[in-house]
Amino acid sequence: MSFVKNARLLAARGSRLAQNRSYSDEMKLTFAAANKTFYDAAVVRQIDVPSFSGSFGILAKHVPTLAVLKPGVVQVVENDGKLIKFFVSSGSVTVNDDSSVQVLAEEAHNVEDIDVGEARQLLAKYQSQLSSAGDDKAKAQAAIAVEVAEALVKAAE
Amino acid sequence: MKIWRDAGLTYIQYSNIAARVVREALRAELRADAAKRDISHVQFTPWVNGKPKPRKKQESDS
Amino acid sequence: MMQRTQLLLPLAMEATVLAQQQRGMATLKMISMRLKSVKNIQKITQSMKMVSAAKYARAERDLKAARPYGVGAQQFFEKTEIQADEKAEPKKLLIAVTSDRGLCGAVHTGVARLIRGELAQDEANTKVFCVGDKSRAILSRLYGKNILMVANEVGRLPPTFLDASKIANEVLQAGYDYTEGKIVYNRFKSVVSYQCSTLPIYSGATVEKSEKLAVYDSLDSDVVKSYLEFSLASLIFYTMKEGACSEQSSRMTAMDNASKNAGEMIDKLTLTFNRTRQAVITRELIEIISGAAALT
Repeated sequence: MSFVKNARLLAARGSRLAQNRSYSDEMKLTFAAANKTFYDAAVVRQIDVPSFSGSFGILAKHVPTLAVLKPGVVQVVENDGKLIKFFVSSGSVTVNDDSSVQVLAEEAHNVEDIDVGEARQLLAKYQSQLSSAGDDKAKAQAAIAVEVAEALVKAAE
Repeated sequence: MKIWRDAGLTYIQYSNIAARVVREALRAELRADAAKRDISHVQFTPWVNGKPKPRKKQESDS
Repeated sequence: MMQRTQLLLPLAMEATVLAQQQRGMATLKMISMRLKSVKNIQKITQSMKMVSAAKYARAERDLKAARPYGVGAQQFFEKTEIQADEKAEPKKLLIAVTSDRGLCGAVHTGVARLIRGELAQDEANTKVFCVGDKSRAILSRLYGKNILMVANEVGRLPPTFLDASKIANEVLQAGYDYTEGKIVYNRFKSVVSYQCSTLPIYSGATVEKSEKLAVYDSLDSDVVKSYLEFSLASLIFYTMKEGACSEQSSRMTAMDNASKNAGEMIDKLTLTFNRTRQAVITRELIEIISGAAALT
């Protein structure tokens, strides 16, 4: 996984906008899901999130942006360097110009809480559903399920 | 790239499907509690000119 | 239920007055019947209080977890200071977050009152999305024409994200292109207080016109669209959690008050019952004694 390939990492190039923006050196992360709140305005070093336009890393002073999450792994590097991995289903990412970051997911769990065997079975189940789906809508729904199941298998292995 | 958008689904519906699959893939001891979040009974009735106009059939997919 | 017990109170007073006038066996029977029925009401309100206390504990726990979520969902809108386009014709949407169930003090009426105030200002360009039968029941009489959609079967179980998602989807697909909107809900403060509040919501067109959006990097309209869809679901989810918690706490207080009122009534009725009984006994004694005295 090439997490840090995105050029958006480090907003140094935003210097022309920097004078009217108050950057703080600390990044405050709120990472919450409908099932649990993981971080509530906690100071962390780095976050990597999977989005539709590719995975990207967020450090303090990241240029403000919006994104929607793709099923995949969110990595949080806490201030003491500890790396924690979460699996997110979907949701939104907001990076504000005061270096606060909100990652809101519908469903998020520690990667260890995923059952690999179960995920593989689901993948097979939804793949067969996709091939037998009739109309466009059913096909799209099955395709989403397959996408999620693939990401789950990949994350849990 | 986004087939679901073309098929008339919103990101919310995308999210609901994704969340359901994630819940199904949890370790067995967490799955029972997670299944509670699959429950939803909300029904909708559109109103026109101050009178309820029930739909012929409630769509059951989510 | 609270109101009902309060209604019964003057009746009980009446019974007292009546008892003093007649002092007969008939009133004694009536008082004991009333006493029995008030005791039954108290039993019901007490058990309802116990049930809502348990539900409240759960709702508060849920809300604690959902608060950072709600705050997070609002951040973008607060920081970008989005304003509704004043030139365009205003089309307002109000989402009333209530539930199907009553007997919980003034939680639902508070929401409905705020909406009535908004509608009184600009009735022609405002539509209401009612979540919960209670707001529909209150609003349909005067402002039935302004109701866009009613969502019911909410409030029996704690709200889930799926509930909120379905509501958000209906809002988006209702075919009503609002320029500005508000979610009206009860914000939970403590066991004894809640505050009727509003949260602004914006349509995609309004957000894309916002000046501050230019500060945000590499946005395409598809991302913004998806982002706003998800935000709407998140905000509705959060306000439903706030509303559910306020409702349970308010129901708990209402039922507690009702039980207390019933208790007071039981005390008063018991006193009246005993006095009346004594009066009957005294009268009978006097009759016997004076009867005996007349014979000798």
